[in-house]
Amino acid sequence: MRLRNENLKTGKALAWVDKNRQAKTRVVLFLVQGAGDISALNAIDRVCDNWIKQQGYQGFSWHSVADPGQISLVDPRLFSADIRRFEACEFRDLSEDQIEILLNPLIDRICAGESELLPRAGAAVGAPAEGVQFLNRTAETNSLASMIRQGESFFIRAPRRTGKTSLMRRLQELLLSEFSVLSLNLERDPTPAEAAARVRSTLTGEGFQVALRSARQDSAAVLSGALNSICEGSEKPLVLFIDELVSLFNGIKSADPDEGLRRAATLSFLKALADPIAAHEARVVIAGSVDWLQYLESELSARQSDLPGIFSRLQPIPLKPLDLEHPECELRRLLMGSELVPEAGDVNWLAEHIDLALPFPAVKFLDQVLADVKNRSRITTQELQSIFDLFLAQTESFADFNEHLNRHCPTGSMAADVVAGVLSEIASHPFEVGIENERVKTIFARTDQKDVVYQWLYDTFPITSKDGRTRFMSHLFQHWWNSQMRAEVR
Amino acid sequence: MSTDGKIEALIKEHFPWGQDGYPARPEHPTPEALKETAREWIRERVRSTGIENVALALQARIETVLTELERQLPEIERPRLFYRWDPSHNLKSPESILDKIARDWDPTAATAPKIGFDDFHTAMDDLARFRIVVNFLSDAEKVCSKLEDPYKCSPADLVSLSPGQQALHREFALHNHSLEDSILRAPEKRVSGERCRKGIFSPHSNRGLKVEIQIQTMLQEAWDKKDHFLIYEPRRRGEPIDGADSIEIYAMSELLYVADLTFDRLLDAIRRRRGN
Repeated sequence: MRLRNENLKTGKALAWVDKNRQAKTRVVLFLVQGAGDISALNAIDRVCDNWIKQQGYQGFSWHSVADPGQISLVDPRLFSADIRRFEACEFRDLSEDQIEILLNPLIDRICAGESELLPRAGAAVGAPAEGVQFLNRTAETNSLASMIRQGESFFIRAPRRTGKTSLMRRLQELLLSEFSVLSLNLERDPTPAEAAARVRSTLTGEGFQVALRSARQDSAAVLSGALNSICEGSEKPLVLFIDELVSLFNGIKSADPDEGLRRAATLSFLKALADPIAAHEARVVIAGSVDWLQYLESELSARQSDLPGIFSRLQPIPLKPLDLEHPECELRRLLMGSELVPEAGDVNWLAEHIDLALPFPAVKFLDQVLADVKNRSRITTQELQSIFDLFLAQTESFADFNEHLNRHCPTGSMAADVVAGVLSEIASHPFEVGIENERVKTIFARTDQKDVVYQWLYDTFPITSKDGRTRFMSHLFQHWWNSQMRAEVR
Repeated sequence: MSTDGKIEALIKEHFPWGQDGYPARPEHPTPEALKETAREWIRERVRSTGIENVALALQARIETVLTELERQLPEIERPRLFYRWDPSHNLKSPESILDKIARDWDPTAATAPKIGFDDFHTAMDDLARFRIVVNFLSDAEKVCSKLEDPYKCSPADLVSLSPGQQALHREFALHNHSLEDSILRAPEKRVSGERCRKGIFSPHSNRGLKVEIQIQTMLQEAWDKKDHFLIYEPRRRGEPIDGADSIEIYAMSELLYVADLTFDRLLDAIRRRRGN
């Protein structure tokens, strides 16, 4: 693996000049080293020309470039600062179908005037993925958006770092023209007063600290009052997005040790949300890594039927790992966006070790690779393996899976051991093979509430059942799991 | 008959209208409609050969060789202009292709043109071309020698050449193993004032696709651009050229050659005084 050689001078440029705003231009430059690039260049030409023609895009033209620093000699409207460079050799072993998957969305984004053309490793670490960083969940976002349009509310459940917050942000973008959208991050505002102050501050423009003073007097009144005002002030129905509801329950717990008072505070908060939602036919979307219903039952002995309004009937929707149609191409897109050029053996190694089914750990790993390549300018496949082993040993990207297994398994630690046994058995088989579904059922046969635990296994871990076999959806998870279960000490 | 007239006749009589891989004759076959359809077909045919990409790949390989050569300049000279690419006219235009086919064709002989529409892309040596413009006459010699060496040396000596030269030799063939020289052409053999070194390269993977490279000094290029506008283009359009103009423009080429020689002598003298 090496960094893209952006010092190459000769290349073929696909330039775009916005017909409406002549000042807006973009240049994608395919840098050339020699005769080995001719076929790739021919294929790139065909793919781009076909897509531009098919989509009826205007303003594109090809140019031979001898010196990217002097691209304005080729066309005075073009500037070297607008150039996005690739090496033609990055496309060398790809079919035209694969090149289409890589370049067509890039051309679409140029025409849409987007500044970011490709996802990149460094950009998605530590923040929700937005824009081009948000990897393909088109079918899921469309389906959830249509549920919201039909008046439904729901709870998106998945372990941390699997893309819930990113998905919620995408939904908000999608719905912004039809709905009034309000987002509450309860990890940031983990008490009823802070949550209420945040909503009021968003509504009125009042400073957060001032709003908090009022909310501390009567958080439920401030919260429901602010929500009512938002709904009444807009012709569009409200969709309230709540991230990490359990953080608020924990906030209440740490403030008050008495279970009765905690229960009252929790139900009061939920009621302050539920009443305006019911009165104005608003929707609510909750996302969380921990099943908040299970949490309420275990901590406050509150069943879902005890909860106010919409919360008494909110259905969970598990968020599965990304099931990408073209996993290798998606990985290549990320490499391209990160200026990483795979060399002989790298692509095969990557295909066997990482994928974007769980984007966060994969992106985190590639960010580490990028840092190492920048230091050393080039790393071998063996060095890639060493970085990977260290990553598996140190990463906290999967910590939430351990948390779920050790603390949230439906029927306790006995069932958790059985689930761990199933995961280990799947992990001991080749990724594409997995184990027979019947085998999983046999292992679960001795477990209490076997159907519940079986379903929990599928909802919580990145596994899938296909053609009668259960297998992992993420290579990276399989390697991580194996490293967790390794017996010997090195 | 003017060149335009010859082209009209050529397209009307010899363009394979409606044959496999060729467009149908336009519904209203005016000379302009025929010409435009033929031009569009030629443009697409040239594009489909990928010749432009072959030229780019060759340019990239030569760029490496030139960079190696630039690094060998005396340190004090490295910031000076050693060479630049002329980015214009990488690909021969459909108009020029028609022009060239028509030029070699005698419309009165009732025979097909020597270069046909089915094989012009392999028959023409300069379908794609690019020019390296160097500063001094001795720079041109250095560049040419660096490009010719891999094709003139014995296979055993190849390993002693630079990595850039070896890669060039590995990927491309140089036709006739040398660059044509119209800089040092004797007066009695000269038909125009053009002065440059020319070579035809092909990738080993497709020897039929040829790319012409030209190496000239800045003064030779300056003369070429002026001649193109003042003499070549009007002559191509069939305009009469005054004999005195031809004599004068030819003399300018000789004059600029002498200027190049003088600059080179100055460069050499200054280098010797500096001790490099």
